[in-house]
Amino acid sequence: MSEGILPAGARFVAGGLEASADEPLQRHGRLGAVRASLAVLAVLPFAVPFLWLIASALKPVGQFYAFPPTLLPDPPSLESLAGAVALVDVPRLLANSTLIAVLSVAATVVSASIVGFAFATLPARGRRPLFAVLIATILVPPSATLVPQFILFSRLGWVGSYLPLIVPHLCGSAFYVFLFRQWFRNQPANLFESAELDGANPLQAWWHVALPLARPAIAAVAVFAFVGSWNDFLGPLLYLRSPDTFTISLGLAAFQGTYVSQLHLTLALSLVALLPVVVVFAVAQRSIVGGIATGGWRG
Amino acid sequence: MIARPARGGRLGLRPRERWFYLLIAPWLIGLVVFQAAPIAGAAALAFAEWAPPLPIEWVGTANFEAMLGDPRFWQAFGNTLVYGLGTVIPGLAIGLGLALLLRDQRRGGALMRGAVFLPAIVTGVATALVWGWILNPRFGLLNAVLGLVGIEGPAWLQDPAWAMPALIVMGLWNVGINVIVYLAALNTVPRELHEAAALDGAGRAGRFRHVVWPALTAITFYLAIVNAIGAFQVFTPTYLLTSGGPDGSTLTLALYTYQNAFDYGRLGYASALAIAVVVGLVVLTALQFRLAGRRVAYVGADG
Repeated sequence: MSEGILPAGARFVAGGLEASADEPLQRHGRLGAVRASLAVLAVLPFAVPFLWLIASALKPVGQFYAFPPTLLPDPPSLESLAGAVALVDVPRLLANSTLIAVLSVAATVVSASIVGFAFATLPARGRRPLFAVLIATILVPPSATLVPQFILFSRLGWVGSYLPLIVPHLCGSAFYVFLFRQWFRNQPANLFESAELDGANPLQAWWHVALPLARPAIAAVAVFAFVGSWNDFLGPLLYLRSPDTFTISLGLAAFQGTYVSQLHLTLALSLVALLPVVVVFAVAQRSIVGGIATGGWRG
Repeated sequence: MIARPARGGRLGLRPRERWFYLLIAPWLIGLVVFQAAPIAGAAALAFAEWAPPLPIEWVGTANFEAMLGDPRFWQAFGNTLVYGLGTVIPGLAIGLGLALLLRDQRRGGALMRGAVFLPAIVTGVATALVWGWILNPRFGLLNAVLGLVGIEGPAWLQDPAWAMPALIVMGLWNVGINVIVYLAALNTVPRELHEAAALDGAGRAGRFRHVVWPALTAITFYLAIVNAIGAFQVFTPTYLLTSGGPDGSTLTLALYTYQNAFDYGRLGYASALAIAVVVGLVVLTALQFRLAGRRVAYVGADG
């Protein structure tokens, strides 16, 4: 399992994060309690590594390497974090990641929504086979194109810049196009037709009518595109050369390579790298759920 | 009415069709530049050896012959297969099990679903390093817990026998996507069907088999394909934590391809490996289609 399946699940994510809508089959007292404790036990392995990361990152250095380990930092300390910040320009890494992620999100939302809008609303010869091609490209493994793409970007002189990490997003990643297409298909067709009767061309209809309607879809795609960009490792590893251009992921990897024996610093930096994604997810969860639960994603 | 094509330019396109092609142009360009051309390039390079700045040398099928005789390739192939088998099928089972368990949790349900889903969304360098820390043989949490019950834990990522199982556990930690997809799919099973089956005297197992499972086959099939493709791409944890070691026990095809292209400068051989992966995935996907065959019911599938 890898970064690749992330978008694949996006369509269902919101529906799944919500409890089933037509609750409940009554849970009988004892059976319900058994199931609840089973559920807690089953969820623990997913939560413990995060909790352990937080506990470890906040321990004074002496406790960090204690064995057997202590459970909680006593007292919580920012010693490790300060140590990491002293060695590497953390704000710079975070700013680089943010810049790339924001530009990628903007490129993705604009291009995928335009292309999805066209597939949903403009009948044309060749639309069906092209849509089939679009779906097929979702299944092309990224490793197939890795080497030639690298050659292409180095020929263009883009290696060492952010362009290879951003420009491809201008071309509407297939899965997000699919999501927008589903969304627009579920809007009443005459909405867009009446816009055209008013003299708007399809591009104007997309901008003035479709996009404002698509806010929940935009939110969902934006979150997934942001997370995908923020977590990307292979891209920055291939294309970024100078440490002051590194993303937080690449900077973190380079850091652990340089300070192998300073695990406590690496862990503190890991926490810094994870937090923005966790925050984005926590903040956006409700809006994604709200958007998708309105039924827009149903085929 | 006499059909008379509107002014349609040289290609004979009607205005709406011209708009269609105009608006999908970004995707079409990307398809050619970032997908089709690179794949064609990889296919061509697979029959060449190229270590820039030296000129390209066409070598026929030499790369593929070398691959067949390359023990590292076979090791990577076997490891990738083991990783795939170890993550995909258990990942589906765990995903469905957790979804069934979590779907009716009232108290803290949203929190638990979020907790299961979070690892899948924040996966990457940071989580790989956290796992490296948990699996640390000397200071790690896992061996400390095992020590409590009197087991002396292995060196995990530094032990050739345990590195791959550890990698598989890290992969399964991302199973949250499957859980969420199954939860959404479970919500599409009509409640009335449940109740009707219950009235007919169907027990829990019977209801699952005859009412719930048929509604999940299509999504299971989809997940199996997408997860298998994902499993063939696993790169970050093995690059970061083990560099394929110890003794090549975590060398995956994705990592070996990367090493050949960017560490050893063997672009031709790396392309041949990439093509082999694609061919392998196409065969695997075709097999899955065959295996699934009629067993997949496309209930409520998209039109």
